[in-house]
Amino acid sequence: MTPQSDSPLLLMEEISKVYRVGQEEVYALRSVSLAIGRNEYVAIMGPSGSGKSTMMNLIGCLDTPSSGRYLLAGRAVQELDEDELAAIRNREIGFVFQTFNLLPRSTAAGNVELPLIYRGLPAAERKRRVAGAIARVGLSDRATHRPNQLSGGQRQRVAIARALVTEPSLILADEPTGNLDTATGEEILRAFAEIHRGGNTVVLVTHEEDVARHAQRIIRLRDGRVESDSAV
Amino acid sequence: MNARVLKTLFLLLVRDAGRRKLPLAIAILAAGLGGALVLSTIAAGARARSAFNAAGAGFDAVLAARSSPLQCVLSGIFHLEPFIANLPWDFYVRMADDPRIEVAIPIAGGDSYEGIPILGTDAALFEVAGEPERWRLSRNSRLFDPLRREAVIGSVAAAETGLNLGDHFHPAHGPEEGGEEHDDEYLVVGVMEPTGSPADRVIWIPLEGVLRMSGHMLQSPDGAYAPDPDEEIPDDMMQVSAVLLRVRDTSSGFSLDQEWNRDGRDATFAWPVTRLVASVVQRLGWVEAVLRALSWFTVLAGFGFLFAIVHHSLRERRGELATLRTVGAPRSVVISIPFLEGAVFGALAGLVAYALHHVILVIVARYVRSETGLDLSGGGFDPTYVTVAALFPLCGGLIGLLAGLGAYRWQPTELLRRSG
Repeated sequence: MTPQSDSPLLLMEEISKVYRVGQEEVYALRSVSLAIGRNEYVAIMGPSGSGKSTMMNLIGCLDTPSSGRYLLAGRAVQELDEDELAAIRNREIGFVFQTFNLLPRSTAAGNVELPLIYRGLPAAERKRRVAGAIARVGLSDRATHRPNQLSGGQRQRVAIARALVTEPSLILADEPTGNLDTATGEEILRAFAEIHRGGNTVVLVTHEEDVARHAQRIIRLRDGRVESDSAV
Repeated sequence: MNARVLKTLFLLLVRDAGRRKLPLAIAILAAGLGGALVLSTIAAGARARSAFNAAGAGFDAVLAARSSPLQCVLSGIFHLEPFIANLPWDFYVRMADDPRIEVAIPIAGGDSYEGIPILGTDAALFEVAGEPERWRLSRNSRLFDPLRREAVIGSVAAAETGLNLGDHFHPAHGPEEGGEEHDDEYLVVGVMEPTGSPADRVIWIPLEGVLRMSGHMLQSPDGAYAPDPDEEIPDDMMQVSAVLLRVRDTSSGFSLDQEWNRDGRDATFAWPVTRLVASVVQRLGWVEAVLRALSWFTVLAGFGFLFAIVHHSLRERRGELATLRTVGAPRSVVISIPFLEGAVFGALAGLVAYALHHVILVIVARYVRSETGLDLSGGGFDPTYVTVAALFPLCGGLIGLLAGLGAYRWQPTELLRRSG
């Protein structure tokens, strides 16, 4: 564990996640403890079955741990109900996925606006924030395009804008370059670096060494445990 | 949930519905058709009961040749069955003079025109018949002259035969279409305003017209007899097919029932008409119940189909739902999507049911009117409408909710990794 600030944004203590398969209990994570400070750029790596996805679900508040304590921006996630988890996802986390996951029948701006709708912001404020987030990823001239009118890289940048628009504490990216060619992948990684430089905390889940090296710190998982946690 | 969230949900719904128009339309139509059948069965049943009860036109008893009371009502009131025999004129006179009887009107049948029964009667019928409103004649119409070959025709009879004021026609022998034409020519002098009763499907002529119709032979103990045109028919040769009666009170009805049906065997006193009609409707009640059950089954099948569509649509949009969850849409919003879909589709099915049932009722009412003269087109507010109006969107919402609860169990990150 290598915390880089005194008050970590994300603190996991003795976190375990157990799934019941028939009569059997399967440990996806076993007593994992880690802390990620504000404005860190961390890559989480591991082979298939290492617990990466479970870790991603827990960090992203899409699931709660079976045991242990998880604090995100000072809030104990394991004590939150479904709606509180949804609220914390909306305020604290921006997701970026490998497959972009844009709503196909909404424009780029419509997709970016989506999290703000659930936050209940007034229209003028939403419009201002959407324009800012889209400009930040360099897609102002594509705001009214639908996803099928955009290239892979542009779609991922829309997804990044959607993640940024709520000004979250944490950007959580799951294999963000997995569906892109090398050049476009590099372009997206540069965008993440830019976001990090802008003061955001970025957590990147990947199985690619090259991608992970863009982070400042790499946490390697194996068999549901932290195998190593080191600065790049 | 704010207005913007609702608008987003609605847009998602409309856009998704646009992609599955055909199966959705079929499911909505199926559920709507079932609902229409349920509503039609209930409404038509209620209207038929009300129309049957009003069919007596103010007469609550019939005296006719010995047969079942129901046969007497079907021939004397509804004019759906031919009279099985005639009664001596004396029977009418006895009834007319009986203090227990308020009104007695003789009718005589046996002829028809293009399948419409021709009944001979006394002009007094038009002064006493009809409830709650007396029968009325249309503009420029008048009652027939009892001594002339003149006719007053019901509104359905006019529409079906095309006869109008000033037209002439020849009655045909027998109740069925295609009977041999009599030489007698009748003039239409009156057309009745619609009454909604079986009287609308009748051609009314003077009683003597039936008795003197060419080819008719009056039966007497001395044998068959055909009156000369200028000769007055002796009372003992006069005949009627039935006597329409209004009994003074219930005890009179019971006493007449005892007198004619239990102590005597000369004729049948069918009373009270409403109870006899109700017993028929009651006997056919199981048909209505079966029809209603089948209709509900159709509704169920339609909603089952709708559930399959909503569920399938959600499976296809798992990625979208997962995306909504990651951006912070609360559970209520995620589940609201299929709930709203189901409720809207259910409401549409309800509207289809309401519209289709009107069409079905119009068709049924037209058919019943042309066959019996009864008017089923009216009908006031039925509480079933409220039930359907609430039940359809509610059921739709419920199936959407079920599908949504299932969809909420899907793990978002797994879905987001798979989808694109």
